[in-house]
Formats: sequence, structure tokens, C-alpha cells
Amino acid sequence: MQSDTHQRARVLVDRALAEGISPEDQRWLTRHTDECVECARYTEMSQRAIRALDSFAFEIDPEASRRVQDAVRERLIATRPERRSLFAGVVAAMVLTIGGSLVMWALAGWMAQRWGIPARAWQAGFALFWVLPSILLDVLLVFGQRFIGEHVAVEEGEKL
Amino acid sequence: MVAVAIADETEPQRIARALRRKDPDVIDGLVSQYHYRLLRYLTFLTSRREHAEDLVQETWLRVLERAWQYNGSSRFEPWLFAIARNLAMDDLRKRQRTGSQAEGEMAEESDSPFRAAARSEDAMRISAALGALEPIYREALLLRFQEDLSLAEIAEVAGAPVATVSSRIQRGLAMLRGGLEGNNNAI
Repeated sequence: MQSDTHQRARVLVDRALAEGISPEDQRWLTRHTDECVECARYTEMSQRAIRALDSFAFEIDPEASRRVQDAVRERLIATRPERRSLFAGVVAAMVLTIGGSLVMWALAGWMAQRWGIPARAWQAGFALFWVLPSILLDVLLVFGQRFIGEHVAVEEGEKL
Repeated sequence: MVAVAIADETEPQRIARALRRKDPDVIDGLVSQYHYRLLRYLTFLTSRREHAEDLVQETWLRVLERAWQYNGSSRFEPWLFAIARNLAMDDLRKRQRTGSQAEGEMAEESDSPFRAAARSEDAMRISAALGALEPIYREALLLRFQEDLSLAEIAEVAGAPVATVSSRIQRGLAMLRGGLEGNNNAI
């Protein structure tokens, strides 16, 4: 029983330092360490160890941070033209899509008129086989990129 | 309406917005603000000061690449440290594969970054214990007691369950107590 009590005290000391304990456990622990020299010493050593961690100070080269900032800015500059090209590409794609759709609409209407296809029929067919696939493709492209990014992030985490 | 929304945003949200916009001034500030903490974390993780400095730069370049992943819904530190950790672990695995890890371990005894950084008698006493600990235990101690991350945040950084993180902290503390007592056996 005695060793169980001491063991419980040590577990509570560690848990209190790492994540906190309930007020009830804290009161029990305080009473116990007031009476038990060994467990009081255990507590003191644990607290000293944590304070000792505070006593490490790594010397820093004053220019080190600046070098990292320079490297980061170089990368920002290097990648910026890609963003402009990407933006231009997106705009061009949208213009071609809208323009192409208008042309196809006119062509489909002309062909339907020549073949005697009712307006509602060819318009429904156009929506089904032209517009909807384009929308679906856009959605897949947007969410597909995000899914790939999340998948890479999960894989990175799983490596460890 | 946009101005009001921006005025109400939290610090993590402000950082997330700046990262996505690749705001150079804000990113400069972050680099400066977190430089020491990142260096300390990576030194604790790798126990190699020179490698840690290289990894600090790589971390920020990776932050730029992955900026879109951070949405500001949680603190910035766990996300940043997780990126740094992945790079450090990749570097460690690479060195183990090439066999250069053995050389590093021999160098650690005489060139311990912890011994060089110790500023008190107790710190000197535990520096050897710190060097002898596995990186995952050093990491848990640093993130909990120096960076003041919660167990859940440490679990996020380390990719481990909260119970495992708690266990690592306790194991690490046991080793440090041993160092203070003047032996390498955990109490």
C-alpha cells in the first residue's frame, strides 16, 4: 500500500507538470508531499529539471535571420511570375470557354434548324453534353488540387 | 465590411491571410520573430547546431510552398513546428541511410550544443542527459516546457497520440532528474 501511495504521488507529480491535475488530486498530492520527504524531493527534482531547461540559451548569429529573410524574398520573387502566368492562363481559358460556347451554341442552333430538331431538344442536349461536363471538370480540378494537397500533408505526417 | 472583418481577425488568421497573399513584409516579420525558437527546436531535435541552422531556412521555404494549407483556425506555432519536424526527420533518415549518423553521434559527445548552451549549473548537469535522450523525448520536453504548447498541440506536431506525448514527457523528465542526481539512470 505504501509503495502504491508513493507511486501514485509520483504519477501525479509528472502529470501535474505535463498536463495539470484536478484540484482534488492536487490537494491529495500537497498533503502527501508535506508528509513524505522522498516524494517531496521527487517533486523538487522535477521542478528543478524544468527550470534547468529554461537555462539553455543558444547563441544566434545576428545576420542569420537576415540571410533567411533574403532567401525567402528570393523565392517569393522567383515564383511570382508563375502566378502572373497562371492568372493570364486562367483568364485566357475563361475567354476561350465562353467564346467557344457561344460559337458552339450558334452552330448547334443552325444545325438543329437544318435538321428540323425542336429548339427545346437541341438546347437540352447542348446543356447536357456541353455545359455540364465543363462545370463538372472545373469542380474536379478545384477540389482535386485541394485533395492532392491534403493527401500529401497526411503522407508527410504518416512518415513519422 | 471587409475592413471590419479584417479588424476582427485573430493573429493566426492574419498570418494565414498574409501567407496566402505571400506578403513579404509580414513573412519577414515572422522569420525574425520565430528565428530563435525554430533554431532552438531544431537543435533539440537534431542535436546538431549547424544542421539546425540550415533547416531553419528550409523550413521557411517549405512554409511558402505550403502556405495554402494553413487557414488560421489554430495557432501558427504547431503548424510551423510540424513543418520543421518533417524536414528534420527526413534529414535524419537520410543521414542514417548514408551512414553519416554514426559520425555525428561521435561528434556529439565533445561538441554537444546543449553543453555549449547551458547557462546554469543545473543546465550543465542535465546537458549530458539531454544529449543522451532520443529526439522525440527532447522534442516533447521543449514543446511543453519551453514553447508552452498543449499536449494536443504537441501531438499534432509530432503526429502521435496525446497519451504517447504524455509518456514521452514523463520519460524525458525522468532522464533529466537522473542527470541532476548525477547518474544516467532514470528515477
